[in-house]
Amino acid sequence: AATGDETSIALPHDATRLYRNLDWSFCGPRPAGLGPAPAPLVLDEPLLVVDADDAQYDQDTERVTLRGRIEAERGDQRLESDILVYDRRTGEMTAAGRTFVEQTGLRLVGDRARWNLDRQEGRLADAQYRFSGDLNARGTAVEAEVVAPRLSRYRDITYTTCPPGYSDWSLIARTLTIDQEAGVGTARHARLRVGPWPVLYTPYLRFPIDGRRHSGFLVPTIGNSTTTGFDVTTPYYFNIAPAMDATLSPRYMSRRGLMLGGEWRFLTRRQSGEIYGEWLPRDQGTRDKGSRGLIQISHQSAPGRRWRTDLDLNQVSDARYLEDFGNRLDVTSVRNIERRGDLLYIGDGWRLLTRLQAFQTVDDGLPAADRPYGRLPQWLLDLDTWRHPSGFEVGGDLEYVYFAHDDREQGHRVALAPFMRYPLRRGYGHLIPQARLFGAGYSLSAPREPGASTSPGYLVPRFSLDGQLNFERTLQWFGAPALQTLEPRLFYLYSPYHDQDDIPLFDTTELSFGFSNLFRENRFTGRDRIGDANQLTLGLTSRTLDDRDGDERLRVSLGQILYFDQPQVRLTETTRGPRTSAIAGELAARLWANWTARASVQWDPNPAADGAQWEKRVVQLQYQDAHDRVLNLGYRFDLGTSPDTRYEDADLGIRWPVAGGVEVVGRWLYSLLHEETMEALAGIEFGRCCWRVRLVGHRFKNAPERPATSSIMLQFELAGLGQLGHPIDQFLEREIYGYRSD
Amino acid sequence: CGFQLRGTDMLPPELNPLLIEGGGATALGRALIARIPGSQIRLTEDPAEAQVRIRVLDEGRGSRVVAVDRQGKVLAYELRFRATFEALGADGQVLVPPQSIDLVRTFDDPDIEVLGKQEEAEMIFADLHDDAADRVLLRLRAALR
Amino acid sequence: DDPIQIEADSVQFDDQLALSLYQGQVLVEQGRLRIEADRVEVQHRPDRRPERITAWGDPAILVQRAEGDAPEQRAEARQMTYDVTRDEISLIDRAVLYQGQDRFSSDRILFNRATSQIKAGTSANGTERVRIEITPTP
Repeated sequence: AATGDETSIALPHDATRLYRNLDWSFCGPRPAGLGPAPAPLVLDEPLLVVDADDAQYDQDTERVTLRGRIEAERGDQRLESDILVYDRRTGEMTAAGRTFVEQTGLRLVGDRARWNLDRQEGRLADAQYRFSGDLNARGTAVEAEVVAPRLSRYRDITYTTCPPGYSDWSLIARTLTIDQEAGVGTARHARLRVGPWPVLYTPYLRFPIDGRRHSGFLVPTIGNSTTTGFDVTTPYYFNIAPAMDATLSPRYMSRRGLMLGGEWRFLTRRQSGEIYGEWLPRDQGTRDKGSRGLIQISHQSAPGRRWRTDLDLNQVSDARYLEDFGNRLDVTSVRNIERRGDLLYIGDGWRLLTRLQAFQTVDDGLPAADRPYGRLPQWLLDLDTWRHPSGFEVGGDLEYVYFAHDDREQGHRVALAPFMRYPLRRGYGHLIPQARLFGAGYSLSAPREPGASTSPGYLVPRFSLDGQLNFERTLQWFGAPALQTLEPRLFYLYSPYHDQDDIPLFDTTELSFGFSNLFRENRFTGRDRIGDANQLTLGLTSRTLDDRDGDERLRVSLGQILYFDQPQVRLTETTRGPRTSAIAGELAARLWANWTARASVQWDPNPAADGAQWEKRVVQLQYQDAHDRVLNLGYRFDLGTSPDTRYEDADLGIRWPVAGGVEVVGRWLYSLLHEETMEALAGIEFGRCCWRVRLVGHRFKNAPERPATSSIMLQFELAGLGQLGHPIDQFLEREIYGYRSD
Repeated sequence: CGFQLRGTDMLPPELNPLLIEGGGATALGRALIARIPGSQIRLTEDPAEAQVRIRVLDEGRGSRVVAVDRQGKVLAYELRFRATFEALGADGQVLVPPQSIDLVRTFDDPDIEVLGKQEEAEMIFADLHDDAADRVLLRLRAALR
Repeated sequence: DDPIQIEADSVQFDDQLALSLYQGQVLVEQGRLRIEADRVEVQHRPDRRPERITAWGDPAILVQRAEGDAPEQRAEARQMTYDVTRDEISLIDRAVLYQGQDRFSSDRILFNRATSQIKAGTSANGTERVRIEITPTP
């Protein structure tokens, strides 16, 4: 070993050397957004250059003894020490004091170093290490060994992705292997310490150390809810193949028992599919402790240039499943679940859709007769609009459907709707005359009412003339040059009356009244009712556009229908209506920099006896800026067709990043009509670069007779130990309009 | 009050023909193509010939519950259509930088007459696509003036 | 050990000091060793055998031909001193020593041929850092 006088000079190779001119801009694996990390320098036979204060070379033994601020470099490797013996024959370097070693993406400081820069391997004792590039992580090890350029092993270690100076959490383990080639870290006999508290022991732990997808634990969710009790989910992600992955989510609920959630996904150029399932073998919350669950299968494919398939199957074990286990209003408020399969053939100038569609009703309150019909099957031949050079256009569609229902009359229906039109479109406006013929024939299993025909039908022509002119002027709009348009629109519609009383209502409902529905060709959806009409819709829209980028600053629309003849085809019995419809209006404005406002109203000048003048009012104000700050204020009122469908709600949504990485999230849907909170959600997210905690309190009305379900969910995420992107983001994204998890 | 009739065509003639990249693959693309027939704008599918290229970068639709009845069952959704697009000149220079259009509409749907309401929702999405197509043409026109 | 021959353009002898001074393309040879320099001063022992040879050049060059497994050795420096009795060469001022493919450079390098020891930097009372460049043998 090296001899000679040992001068203990200030040791430059302590921890600070590990971090010199390297930042800690992210914790754990490198975020995809930052692009690839610098690649290791690959030279064929790089020169070994060593600088030192003193060198003594024994030619017989070919050993060089170096002393004093030694710096050795070979390719992208660098070694610094104070006392070092270099064996020329083997390339072995043996250092006595504290030694610093660096290669791309890894730095080590330790004692009793034995290193070989030729073979890029070596070991250190009492080491501190720091990864950079693809992974920002650091720690200590009693023994550190670099086995190959991108493979290193450590014994009796600590590991954390927290920046230096913050030991918010750390992993303590007997052994740690970091395989930068495979992008995976593996620890054995590991204990996780968060703050001063030991939190978890696991004999084996795998975690990702770069941006690639890896199998491993996702962020656990721990919570408590009035319907499920203590509720913990620990999802595990399987990266099966580049185009296939799966997530297994065991979930324990103190009031319900153990549930297994599973999601399997695949994606290829030609097709993509997803299967999601939840299975609760024994639901402790029910009397018979039966097995419950749900299955969702969705699959899309484009097998050939002309063929497309789309499958969307959903099935729950029982009607109350979603109410009991759904964790948000979008899931629990649903009345019917769809099962649908589509096969589409795209011909030249036409398309043929074959569809099988049925529904499972999950709202016990819905009477059997009100449950939706199934289309078993539906064939829809859709002819693309054919344009004659003169501008004349022809098109239409032909449809066959068998409507199936358990409690109501069922039947076949063949319907066609050819049209011809002559659209004139110019910058200054458009004039589109159109003639359309609606025909349908039915074969019913039973008449709609006693005495009615079992094979009714209709043949009804329709003529419409849609004309609009576009006027413009320039003006100053709040000090900015703007272009203001005035777009009067007239829409005349004529369709003779044809008695359709003995036709059942398979897929027909009345369109809800609103500005855009004023210009529909038929006031009913589906094909079971062709509304008679002799009416003229007056519409006026004005837009104010910013002259620089054409962005819409203000849009105001108003419209009303003048009935020359009273509409006779009706779904509900009402007395003779007024000469004019209610007035429908819409307003959308971008007020200041980040504020936008939207409103749509419906005001009836002469309401029916019990009606009110205001039938609909929606006002929304939204603030959204580049710092992901979102504030939504909404007021919605709808008279509804009956007291049950009337609502008057205030809707508030907020997402507000506060200083220091703290973020507040909230939503409050309050029914002014029932003076009751329909959904309230408050969440806070805070943490530092290497850990984040999300706490979300949630309360929502999910079942008729029960009080609202309230729950609290906690998610703690240790950067680098659990992959990012987890349910709480998608959940928040839907709840608060505008919130996008990046 | 200063209003005059707008000129005969939305885009200056020298900007014909127009190419909608991806054609009918995106809903916004289909809506743009549908706005063209009968107007003076000429469409092309040959990138070499196109004077203006409209490129739909991404689009998506969504819905969320915004009103429920006393039993917590849905009464109304808010339908949303988002798209980002950009417009490039013949030699690739940026005419309209990437920007997004974000349209919402409240839709009464108590989820009972499901077939009819599914069709009405598609009508509303079609309106949102047409509205987005109008905005693309208006922004393109402002950028080219 | 082998006799030493020295050639030069001109030479002066100083018998009192037992000193001889060679100038102009001086070439010193002793067995496998060869030194080329601009000026060489030889310090003689009473029996006139050279005790110490000092060479100056820009740089002065020393070559020792390879023999057996010992690789060829070359050295350069502005001043070299060859201490014959101790068989030690000290290179001073921009000193460079080639050891096969390896290269040592510093302001002072001591190269003892008897003990086959090379010293550079502080142990050769140099003041500058030592740089070693090693080309790894495949």
